[in-house]
Amino acid sequence: MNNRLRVLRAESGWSQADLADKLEVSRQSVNAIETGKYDPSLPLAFKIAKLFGKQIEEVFQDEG
Amino acid sequence: MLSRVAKKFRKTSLTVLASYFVLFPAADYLAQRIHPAGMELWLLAGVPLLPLLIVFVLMGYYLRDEKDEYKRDLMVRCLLWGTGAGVLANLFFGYMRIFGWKGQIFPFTEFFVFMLAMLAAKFSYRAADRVPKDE
Repeated sequence: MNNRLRVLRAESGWSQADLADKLEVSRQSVNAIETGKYDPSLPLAFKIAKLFGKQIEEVFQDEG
Repeated sequence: MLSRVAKKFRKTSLTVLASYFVLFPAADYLAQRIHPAGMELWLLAGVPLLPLLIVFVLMGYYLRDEKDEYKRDLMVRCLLWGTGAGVLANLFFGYMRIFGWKGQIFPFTEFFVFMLAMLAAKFSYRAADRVPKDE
């Protein structure tokens, strides 16, 4: 799944560590999501979208 | 960096595993003295297993309490690699015996294969998921 997490994070001026703290996950997790190595669960995806004030489809896009 | 839950799991499981080095020699000493048979033997053989059983239970608690889903996913994947390798080792030596091998392997070979495979998986995932410098 593609995502705009890195772009949105940069627009907000946050580091990966900052975003990890806000999401209560590790920086390793944030990096894995940003690089597409890991697709977050629905609750985490909603949490991410809510944090950036976006709809979930604006953050995550299906590759298909 | 380890989460609070991961640190607690590591500290508790290491403490529990340390008790193995007391329980196993004690059970072994008792076995040498009383030469157990039947139910006594079964129960005595279960004694050194207790710390390992507790560690598996602690692992379950860790997976329940860890908030970071990616870390949980990594732990499960490492467990899967370890379990698969241990089962394959057990099957391999089973087939060896079926096909006529009369040799003996170290009694805990499958367990060591399980542990080594878990560690190998852990370090492989760590290398593959190396986190670059924060931006």
